[in-house]
Amino acid sequence: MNKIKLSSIFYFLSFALVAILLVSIFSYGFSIWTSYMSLHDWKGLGGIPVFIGLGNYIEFFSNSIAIRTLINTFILAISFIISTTLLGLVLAILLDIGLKGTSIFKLIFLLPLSFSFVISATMWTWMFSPFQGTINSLLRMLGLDFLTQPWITSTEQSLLCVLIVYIWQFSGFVTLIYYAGISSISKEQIDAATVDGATLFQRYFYIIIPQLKGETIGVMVILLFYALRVFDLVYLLTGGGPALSSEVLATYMYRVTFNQNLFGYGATVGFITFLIAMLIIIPFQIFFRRR
Amino acid sequence: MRFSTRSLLYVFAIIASIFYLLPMYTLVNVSLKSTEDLVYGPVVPPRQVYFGAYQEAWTQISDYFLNSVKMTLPATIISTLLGSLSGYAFFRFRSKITNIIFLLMVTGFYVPPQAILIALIKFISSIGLYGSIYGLILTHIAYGMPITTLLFRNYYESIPKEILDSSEIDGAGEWLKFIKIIFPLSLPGMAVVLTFQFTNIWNDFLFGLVLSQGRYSQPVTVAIANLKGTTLAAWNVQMAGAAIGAIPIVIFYIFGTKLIIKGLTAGAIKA
Amino acid sequence: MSNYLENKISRRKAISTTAKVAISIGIGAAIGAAGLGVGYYYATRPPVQPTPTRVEEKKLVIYHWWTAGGEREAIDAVYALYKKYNPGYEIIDNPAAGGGGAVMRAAVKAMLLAGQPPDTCMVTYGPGMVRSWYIYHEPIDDLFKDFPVPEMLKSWARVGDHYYVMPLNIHRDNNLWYNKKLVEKIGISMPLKSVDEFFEACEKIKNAGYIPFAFGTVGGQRFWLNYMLEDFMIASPYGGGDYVTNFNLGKAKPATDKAVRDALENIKTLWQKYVNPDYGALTWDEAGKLLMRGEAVFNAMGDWQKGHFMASGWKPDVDFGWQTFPGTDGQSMVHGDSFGIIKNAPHPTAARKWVELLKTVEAQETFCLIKCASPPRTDVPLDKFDPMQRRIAESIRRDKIVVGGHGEVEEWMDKCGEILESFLTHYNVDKTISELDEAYKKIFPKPLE
Repeated sequence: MNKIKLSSIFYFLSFALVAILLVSIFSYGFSIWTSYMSLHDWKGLGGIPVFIGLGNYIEFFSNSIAIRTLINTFILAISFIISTTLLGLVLAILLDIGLKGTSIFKLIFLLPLSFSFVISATMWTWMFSPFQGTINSLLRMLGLDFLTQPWITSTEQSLLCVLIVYIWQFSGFVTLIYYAGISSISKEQIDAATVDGATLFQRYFYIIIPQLKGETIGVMVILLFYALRVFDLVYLLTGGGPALSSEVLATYMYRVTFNQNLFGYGATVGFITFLIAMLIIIPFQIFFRRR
Repeated sequence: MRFSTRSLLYVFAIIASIFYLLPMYTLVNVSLKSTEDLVYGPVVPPRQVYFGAYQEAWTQISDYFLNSVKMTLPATIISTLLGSLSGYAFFRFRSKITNIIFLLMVTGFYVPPQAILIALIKFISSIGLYGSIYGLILTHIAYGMPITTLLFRNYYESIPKEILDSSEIDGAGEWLKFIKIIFPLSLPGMAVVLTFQFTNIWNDFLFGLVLSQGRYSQPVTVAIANLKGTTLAAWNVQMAGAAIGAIPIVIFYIFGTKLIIKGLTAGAIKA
Repeated sequence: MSNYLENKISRRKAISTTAKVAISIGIGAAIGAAGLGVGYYYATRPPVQPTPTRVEEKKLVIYHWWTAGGEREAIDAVYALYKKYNPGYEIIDNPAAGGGGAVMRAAVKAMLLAGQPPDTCMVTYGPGMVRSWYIYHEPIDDLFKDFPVPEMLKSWARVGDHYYVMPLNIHRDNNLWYNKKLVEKIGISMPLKSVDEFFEACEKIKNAGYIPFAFGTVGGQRFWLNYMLEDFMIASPYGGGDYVTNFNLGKAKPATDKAVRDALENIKTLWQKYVNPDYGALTWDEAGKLLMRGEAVFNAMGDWQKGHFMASGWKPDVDFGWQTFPGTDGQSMVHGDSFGIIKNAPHPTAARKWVELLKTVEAQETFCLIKCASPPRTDVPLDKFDPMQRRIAESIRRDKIVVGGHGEVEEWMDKCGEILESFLTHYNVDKTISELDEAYKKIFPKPLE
């Protein structure tokens, strides 16, 4: 008996040790370093870090720009996760109904995921340019001038623009996950419901969607990851502007660290981002994994 | 009635497709224009198709393109293999402790890369891998661990229990069992993980910018960003470079969609 | 299903408490030791100094942000000179475009903080930026002997008693570019001598149905707005060139200085009435394109706009004209680009050779001719430059030099742009003055030097 126990520890480690070591160094070791530096006042190149305790954290929570950044991040993350999940679900149902050309639609929906943010930001800069951009030019050609928008130039719409690009990039991926989920539900169950006289809508709403819980959680885990890491895209598309209306934690951190040379404060912003991620993801994981 | 619902659905699907395709149309259209033609904007097709932008972009990024291949292939394959092993460990050996470790592993996924940048450079340079492709490969493998572990563990849960149980009766060793039974069964799930990792690693910009040096190790994303100058934005060249940089992944997706869906159907992404 | 569950439970039971303890100690120790150890190690250790190689490799690791449109060709021409005079040397070239150098600065800073320096990197040549960067450079005092450069320009490379970076080229920042044909068509007599004349002309252009003033701030390029603030402060009766120099050296009081208020009022007028409404979606060069398409008449930008126009096929003094920004006669606000030798550089000899090369008339002439910039050395002959570039270079040699543009302190450049960008959404002058003042006091606790 004892032999088995020891061997299972041995086997566990033989499979997982490399991964555990890599994650503990690259994710946690470096985060600990960052959290330690966040307790320092460390300004300018060649400046020497001075220990100041929680001073940077007090600065963060009393700084109106930082708070706004925090709010922007939450707005973006929540609206992104909800809208992408919903759109993905709707499109997946659309695919499942069995239109002609489903396989082409699948590919079209999935393609945006393949582009790096460097590339998608370039494309969408051209889409959104109010003067010459694809969207407004098309609207003008169609005689719909009144629908043209200022897009990324407006403080009200810049965050929405980031959201649109995010939805564009990830909804197809969500669609495929849901589509696969729907396909794996047994056909007998659905057929039985059809025989019982359930309409198309009832069939999806009462029978299929409730069975997609696992997919929904899996999708949210991945979308949350991208929502919290949003950096390249905002940095390249709007630069956080105009007037900081699309600044999120990641771009704010980058800017205070590398443009304003506040290395200690930047580490604080980075660590706060990390803490927020943990505060959301740990309860989320524990709650859903129990089920 | 039935007919009209159906055509409505088609209209919806086509509108959605336009939403997805329009930016790509813009990309291709601009990349095929000559400099003088650019003034007419991104909607009107080029008056004369011009491949000069592609030629120029390629001469500037070809070395970097090769670097990206050298970096992405090993990093993708190694991180996927390591993930399949650790995913199996967490699937097979369950206890409170391994569950907590698993939770910590997955949460490691959410560490923002900007937050650990300086520590990362220090580490990579202290082990002598700074400025080389190997440093980038190691970094991408490490940051791929959480997601590959998660995806594989979830995928293993979808493998029919009978198969696992029958192999247990045989009393096969864990490694033998893994290699002979689990690994072959996990191939569809592996397609999803490979795609995921390939996309993430190929598209990375930040690590490439700070961990590599010069045309012998910098990835193509950095070179694409550099097609835009401070004094002149040659949009057609930049777009052509972007198109070239996207081609490998697009091909990967076009041929891989079926495999990806197969893996997804088997539950690779499920909590 | 139930069979599987039982299996799982029995397996769980099979692992006894001692084993659990053993696992927890084993794994916990692995994670804890690795994570904490690495974290602590890097937190307490001074930056790694690269071990000096016994024989220095013949390599130059260089970072800059010249990647396209004339500048790429210009740096390549200097590389060719370097290789000609230093045969056998290899150049490891690392361009990083974006954000007016912000992307490269971020990358190099991260490397410096991690103790992994390159040999040389581009440093914007101005007192502010040099003061942010000198700490990582070796002094090059001997190279500043017999160096015919205006005293004011020379002093920018000096911090304390030492010189740190070698300027390669100089840009003039306070310019007004105009579409020559439109100006003639609308009937505006150039040059404009004052801000009042400038606004009168704008009104005339607006009535003729054109965009008077083209500008672009997209993609984090909010710092161009600083140029507008500085242009108007030089032009202000309460300001002037010396005032702006002092302002950028931390010797001003934004809360009470009238020049600041004056400039903000002028920006407000300009933006409320005369600027292209999509300024937030355009880059500076796309703003220039508005002039080329005949939609807008004026644009204020550094003289690289000239390079951009010429690269796009527009001819100086035929298609477009240049004058100093209205009201800034006799004052040249400039900044340049420079390189130094980074401390603990892996290849210090190669870096030294690079900086020595940049000092020469040949390198400065070669580079500036291609890049459309002015040479810092006053003994570089100007006869090969086109007439407009010659006028610009002569104005720099003749005028009072003003500190500004990209030569500002880096922190201020970003912060000031941030405040001005937000000013354009509310146009509240008082609020903006107090924001500027608060930020100014933080960034300049004491004047530079």
